[in-house]
Amino acid sequence: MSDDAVRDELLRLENVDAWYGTAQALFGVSLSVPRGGVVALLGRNGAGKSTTLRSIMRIEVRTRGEISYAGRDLTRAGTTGVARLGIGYVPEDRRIFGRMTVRENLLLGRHLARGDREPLPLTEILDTFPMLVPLLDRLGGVLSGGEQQLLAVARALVGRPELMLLDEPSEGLAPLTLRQVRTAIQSAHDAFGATVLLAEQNATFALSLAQRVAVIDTGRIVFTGATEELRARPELMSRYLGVESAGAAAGTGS
Amino acid sequence: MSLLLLTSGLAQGMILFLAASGLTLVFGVMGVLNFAHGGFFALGAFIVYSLTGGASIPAWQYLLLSVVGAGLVGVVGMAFEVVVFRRIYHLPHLDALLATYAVLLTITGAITQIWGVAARGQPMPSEFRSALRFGDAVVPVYDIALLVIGGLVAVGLWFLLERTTFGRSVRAISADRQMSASLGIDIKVVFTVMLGLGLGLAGLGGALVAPLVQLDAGLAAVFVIQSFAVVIVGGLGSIAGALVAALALGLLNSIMVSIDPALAGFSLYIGMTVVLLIRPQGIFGHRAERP
Amino acid sequence: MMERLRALPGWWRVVAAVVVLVAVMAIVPIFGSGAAVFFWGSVAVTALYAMSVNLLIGVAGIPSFGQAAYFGIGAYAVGVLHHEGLPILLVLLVAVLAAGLAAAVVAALGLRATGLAFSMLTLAFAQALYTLVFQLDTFGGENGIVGLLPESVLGIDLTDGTSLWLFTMTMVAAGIGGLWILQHSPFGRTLMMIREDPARTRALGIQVRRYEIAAFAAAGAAAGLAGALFAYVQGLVVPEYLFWTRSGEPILMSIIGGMRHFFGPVVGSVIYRWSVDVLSDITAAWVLWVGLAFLVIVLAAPGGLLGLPAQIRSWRSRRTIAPPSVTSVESLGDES
Ligand SMILES: Nc1ncnc2c1ncn2[C@@H]1O[C@H](COP(=O)(O)OP(=O)(O)OP(=O)(O)O)[C@@H](O)[C@H]1O
Ligand SMILES: [Mg+2]
Repeated sequence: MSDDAVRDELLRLENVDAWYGTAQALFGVSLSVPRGGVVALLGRNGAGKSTTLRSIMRIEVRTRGEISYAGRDLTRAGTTGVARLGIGYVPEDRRIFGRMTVRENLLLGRHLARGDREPLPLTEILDTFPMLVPLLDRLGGVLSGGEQQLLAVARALVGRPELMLLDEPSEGLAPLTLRQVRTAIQSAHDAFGATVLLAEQNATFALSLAQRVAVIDTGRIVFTGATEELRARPELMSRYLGVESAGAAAGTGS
Repeated sequence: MSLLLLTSGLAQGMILFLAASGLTLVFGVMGVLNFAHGGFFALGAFIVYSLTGGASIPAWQYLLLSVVGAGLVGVVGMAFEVVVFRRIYHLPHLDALLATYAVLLTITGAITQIWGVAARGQPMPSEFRSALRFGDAVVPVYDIALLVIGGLVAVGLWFLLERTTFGRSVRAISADRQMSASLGIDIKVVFTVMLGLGLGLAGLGGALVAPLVQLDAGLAAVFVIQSFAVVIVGGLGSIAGALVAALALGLLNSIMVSIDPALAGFSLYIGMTVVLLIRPQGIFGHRAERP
Repeated sequence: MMERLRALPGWWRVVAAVVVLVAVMAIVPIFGSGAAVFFWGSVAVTALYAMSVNLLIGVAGIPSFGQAAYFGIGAYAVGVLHHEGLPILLVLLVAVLAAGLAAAVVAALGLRATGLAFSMLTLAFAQALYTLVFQLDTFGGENGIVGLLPESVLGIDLTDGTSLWLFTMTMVAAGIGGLWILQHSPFGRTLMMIREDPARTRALGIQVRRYEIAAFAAAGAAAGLAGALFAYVQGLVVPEYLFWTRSGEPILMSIIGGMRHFFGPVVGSVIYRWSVDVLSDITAAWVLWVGLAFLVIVLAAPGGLLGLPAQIRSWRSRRTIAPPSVTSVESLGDES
């Protein structure tokens, strides 16, 4: 398994430093996402999860170190170029276009598709996200937080990304909505074959989806390994993620 | 209000709209208030003057050459985007304003360089010089032509922005540049095209104003300020706002002039001042979703 | 002790400035032709005008784009009052007060708007005034008011070029001296604080709006003085003085010289007026070259000529420090 993963590595960060202006936010972050995998990036508030994703997307931060996708150097590209390689990004505040309808928001996702990656027809997306159907002609700005989150995931999927970067999709969601979002991510992976890098604070939620985990704290990676390995280390869970018992983290599923 | 007053006011308004529509379009997308806009407006007037050879030509030819001239101005505009404007967007407002002011000076100077200091006159096509009679009222044909052209431009812009994929990208970029890029929209291309379009519209405005004014390089400075007034009253970035504001200001001006000719030109600055004091974001303006 | 150390170089600069001033006042009429005296007189007035604008834009960070209004008010005050036979100093005083008052009113009404909206408001006011004087015969309409030849001040004859030059320079020096004192007073330092961080300044309990209105009034008054002197030097006032491009020019000069330096606008206006003078002899399209040069300065050297040494220093240090560039202390703007 782990040998395959190294050989078929889709995204790779090697010793990445990142700065906002003069303030350094990442220190030597290394991360590897195997093709077809679901990797969780866990850490508490301000740990550097969003910064890691922004470094990949070339948004706001300046970086040093290697960031490559399918063997291509991303540090020389712009945000548009990175996205067009087939990376779907769901930022932490969802960034739905408030004055456009849900339909238009979804259609905007098509720009991601290039060359042989045809965009998904809306019907196909709506099969996976049936709750969006009645909302199609509403303005994005009036949707609830949960609906916006689903829309953001759906929008990123329209361009048939090979890699999805999800920034705290669980944030502020009620358990029922959380389950919908979880199903959506699951089907992005299972049905549409996307590789997923999931930044999360909610360990329970993330570990239920991920095969591999990296834990980040104050801009440094403090743990990488398989999900079970992290579960087996309650002291890490409580120290970096505030999860008090390993049982709690293992307790959810389906 | 007499019909003549109405149509001449609205026709003046349409000229203002043609001058201002590109300005508001560019502001909406790039977030830069572009002083250089006036330069491209003047360029449109001079290019059409050269295309017609300063001769009186049939109306349809004049309109055709105006469109060609606008296209040429648009191409020059795109070149400017690539060479200059691209370096301006990220600057603070004042610096960006000053940089575009520098471009305005440059274009004004280039016009003097090419066409000389002496003012030129573009004859009005003879068909446009006649007037239509509606009962007692007499309405100049050119006023009607301006109303039709302005209306077509307004509808065309609405269609482009609201009904096409390109327009959707434009709206996305003006709402949230970063997210648009993250979705794979090519910001640079959209910017280049939008500046070409916006400045092309300025060129069209200039071409259509040419028969009505004396052509000299000072045209640039005069019309850019009038365009500023329109887009500020209408709301920066709003096409509908620019249309409504332009027509209202044009009408107001023609009414004020009919009361006392000395009031010519006041409506613009009074309108601008009042709007900025009462509703700084303009009639149709709204605060940006995201910087 | 610290106070004295800090005060010393400042005083040296003042002494140097006075020496330069006196030298220029003496040299120009001794060696220059009548035309040169006239030319440099108008340059000096322009420099004062540019400085008044820089008090707003460079020092206080208030983006005024309509300073021609106050310059024009000063000039038209002379135009209207000159033929009434009032003493010159009284006319100048009225010009300064009228311009300052108008500026205070515009700022008081307008400063509720910020940034771009405020720039546009100042522009609108200036354009409205321009349209007014252009249309009204009271102000001479399109042709303006001519024949503004000052005869004497305090019994000193002003009818020849040299005495008018000396008078102009004295008044310009007084204006610049006033601005210097203002900028180096606690008031001036507060303005710089507002420029750097309005929110924090407000949090310190400082009434930012009041300071901004006062700065606007002071700049307006100085522009009014410049306008009035300009009317006397030129001998006429025309609506052109109020046209919006006349608001752009002093900003351009400040940028060329360096907005973060007290004497930047002086350097800028001398260079600007001189190069326009030279260029316009060569080509009618001199604006083309001015525009290009200005564009290069705005994009490549936003600190202007006097800011160049600091900019070069920060390039150097930037190259030796690792990737993320450090905002240089110079660019945060310690004055000259
Ligand atoms: N735009 C910014 N400018 C300056 N510093 C920033 C910016 N965004 C984040 N930071 C800083 O970078 C560090 C990492 O922030 P980041 O947003 O990556 O954390 P996070 O793990 O995503 O936290 P959260 O769970 O709260 O979203 C924090 O110390 C934060 O204060
Ligand atoms: Mg985050």
